Amino acid sequence: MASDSPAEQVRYLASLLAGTSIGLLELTTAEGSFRLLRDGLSSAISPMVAPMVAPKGTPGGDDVCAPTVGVFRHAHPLQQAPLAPPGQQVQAGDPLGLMQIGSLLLAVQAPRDGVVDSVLAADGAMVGFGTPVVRLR
Amino acid sequence: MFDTVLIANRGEIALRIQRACRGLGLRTVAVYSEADADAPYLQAADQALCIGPPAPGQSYLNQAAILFAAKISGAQAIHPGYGFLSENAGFAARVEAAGLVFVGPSAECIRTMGDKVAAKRAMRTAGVPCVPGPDQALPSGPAAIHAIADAIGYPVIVKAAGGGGGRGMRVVHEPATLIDALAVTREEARRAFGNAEVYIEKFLSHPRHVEIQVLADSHGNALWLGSRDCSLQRRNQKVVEEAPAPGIPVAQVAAVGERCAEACRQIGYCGVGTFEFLYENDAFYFIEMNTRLQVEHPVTEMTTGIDIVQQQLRVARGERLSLHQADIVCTGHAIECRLNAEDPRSFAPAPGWITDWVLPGGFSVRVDSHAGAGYRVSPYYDSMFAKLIVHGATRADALDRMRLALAEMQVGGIATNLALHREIMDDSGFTAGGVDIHHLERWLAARAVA
Repeated sequence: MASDSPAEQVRYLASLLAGTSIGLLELTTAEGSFRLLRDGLSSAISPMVAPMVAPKGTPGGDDVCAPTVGVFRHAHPLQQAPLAPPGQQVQAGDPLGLMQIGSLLLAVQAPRDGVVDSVLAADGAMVGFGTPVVRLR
Repeated sequence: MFDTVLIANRGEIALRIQRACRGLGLRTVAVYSEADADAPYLQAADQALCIGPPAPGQSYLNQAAILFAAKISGAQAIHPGYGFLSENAGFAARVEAAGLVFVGPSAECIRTMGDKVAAKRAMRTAGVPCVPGPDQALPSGPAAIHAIADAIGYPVIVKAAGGGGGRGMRVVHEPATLIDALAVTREEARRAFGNAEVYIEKFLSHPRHVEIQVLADSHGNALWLGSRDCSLQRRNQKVVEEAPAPGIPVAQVAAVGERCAEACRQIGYCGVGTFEFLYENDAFYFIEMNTRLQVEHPVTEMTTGIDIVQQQLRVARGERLSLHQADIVCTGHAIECRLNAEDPRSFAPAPGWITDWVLPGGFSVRVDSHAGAGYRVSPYYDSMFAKLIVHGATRADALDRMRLALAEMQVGGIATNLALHREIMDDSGFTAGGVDIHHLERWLAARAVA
């Protein structure tokens, strides 16, 4: 692959990516950096999650907790719409928000099917492991 | 240069590092596991971030989580404290690769000292006295190995090159059992340290544990800060430490100390470190170097008047040492007792809630602790909850002060080794000074029979 042109390399990476559910690929090399973004984001990022944190039972529903220390994002940096606004129907495995650590993005997955009751952590909030970030009902 | 330090540790040392940062005007980021969420020292940090569940592997040993916390908090340096990741060369390399400062020596220095055979070779080159035995990998043939052991003279000790801290070793008293002992130690070493290399040394039967504290900057300057005696041990765990090591001529310590400083210069060491020696029949024998801050550093602080943790941070910032060897004077005597939450008979860790907490005080009494009334000693980590340190004009003075301090101190709600320390301070062997590393176990065995 090293002998191929940059355009062919990108096409090759895109073809590899198409076979996965990875939503965003960022590569930084000595020559520069580039991003490959797949369409259909909501189904895309979920496999990138850190081990899921067991939801903590609350009277109003289940609190979904941050799977890692990071900056909580309601939406993907390249998209306007929040991933899981209150009232949204979600299925187990859907991303409810993202943990951002520098250029790395990790999804916070819905542990079960349900409806988003409220988003507990502010967009851009620095949260620790285990911090409740989204409440499901 | 960094102005924010992430403290990748917990308990008393996390608080100790926080105080040193504060003294230098540095911001602190505390990271903690869910088990430590209520620890009072987190309140004093500029920022505190939970990095994982209680199990150390998922929190205090979780390199990715610690680097994540550094990234989002903007910390430019990571202080590993002692234990956990403090002597992990791979972690030091990752911290450096992330563009952060590891408050400690380079990954390469940690790696060299972590390989006990390589360390011994480096020490011999610098003229540091070592235990008799080769500083090369063992030959493969049994005859050649026997020849080495015969040349050293029995008893010998087989040690894992990747071991340390008293783990991965076996004493051999006669040639007939040598090859079997090698095979077993190799297998244990492979499993425990991922490195099957072993080496052979002369076994010293009644040594003291004496160590030299060093401090080095990144400009080629290295100092030694005096000796410590940590011979009172139980199962290779230090129980009481003191500075200086009693009864060893000052000139002899100085000669060895200067070799240690020279070794630091030769290997390009930066930071604080400890050269550990066995001391037997009036001679020093290097065993290993700890490339980190140590639990017992306060006794050296008390006798030298130097804040070792502040100095460690200063050299990590790239500052040149403002001290010279001639400035370093050991004054008086200091003793430290490690206070553990443990069953006084079985020594099993005894975590629990601290209900009563009365600290000793007065002239030259220091308590380094993160605990207090209402604090819960966690079952997940080391059971040490405080270090009691005293300084005196003489050793006898320090012993008197420690007895008073131990009598004053009260900890309720958990089982502790306070009573053991009170007994030790009245033990004729310890008070005379200069006992060997088996003294405490012998004394405990005798007490159990009585």
